[in-house]
Amino acid sequence: MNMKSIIKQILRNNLNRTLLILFFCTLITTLLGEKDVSSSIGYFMICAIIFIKGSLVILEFMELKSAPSYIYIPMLVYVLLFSMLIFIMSFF
Amino acid sequence: MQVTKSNLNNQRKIPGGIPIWIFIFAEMVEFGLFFIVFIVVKQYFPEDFREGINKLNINFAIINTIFLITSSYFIAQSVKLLREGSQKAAIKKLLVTLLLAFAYCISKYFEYEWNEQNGIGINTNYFFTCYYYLTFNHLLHVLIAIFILIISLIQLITGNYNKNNSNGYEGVASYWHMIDLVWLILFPLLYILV
Repeated sequence: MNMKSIIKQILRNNLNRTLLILFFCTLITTLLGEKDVSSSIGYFMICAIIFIKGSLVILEFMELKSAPSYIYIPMLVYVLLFSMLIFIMSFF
Repeated sequence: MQVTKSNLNNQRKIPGGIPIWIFIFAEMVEFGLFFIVFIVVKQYFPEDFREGINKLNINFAIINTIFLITSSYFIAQSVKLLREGSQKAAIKKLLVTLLLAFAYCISKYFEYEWNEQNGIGINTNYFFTCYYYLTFNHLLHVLIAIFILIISLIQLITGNYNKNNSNGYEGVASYWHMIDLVWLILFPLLYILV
């Protein structure tokens, strides 16, 4: 089994893919944190990452993508609401 | 037969059942209120917050994020394995989850100690009052979840949770994921966004 097929096999699994994306998003957040994130673009990127990470945890780890809409929609709205709130408050 | 939206919702499965989701939503409302308080206080004391965030050691936050994300991944795998009938593999994955949960607590202890050594306390300024309130509250939830995870481990070992009875375990996993989700908002809010 070569490296390429090992990577392919790892990425075929939803949970593995989610974990890798979450690590990548954490890395981006950390790199942004090293720089000045007081600008609106910096805030927007961090808030977008909060939403992406939150959605992945909700849909993939919590397995809510196969749950009724009245369960997963409020959860996604919650994450969206707080990422938006954090972004909006950066203007004040 | 026409598939309506309500029919589709009835066919879909709720991980852990409705009661655990009422509990999870209640917990999230609680944390939501804390987030709002944090954001409001930040508007009144921006200097305290700018200074406070720069004083914190971000390395602890990164390590804690990795611990929580990875633990969430392992418990999700554990649930999947239990449903497939691999009881032993599910137990192993849960043990890794527990190990990471304990690692989070130890890391938090060292973070608080580092803060103390650097002259940071709950009364240092308004930022740190909020910081300690939020992180300690989150830590308490982690400790409660660890207790529930240990009970789940016993249930798995004794076979009470199995391929045909995994609903309770799905609920426990969902609660653990909720703790991870809250941290994903806390991490940039407390350590990154100046």
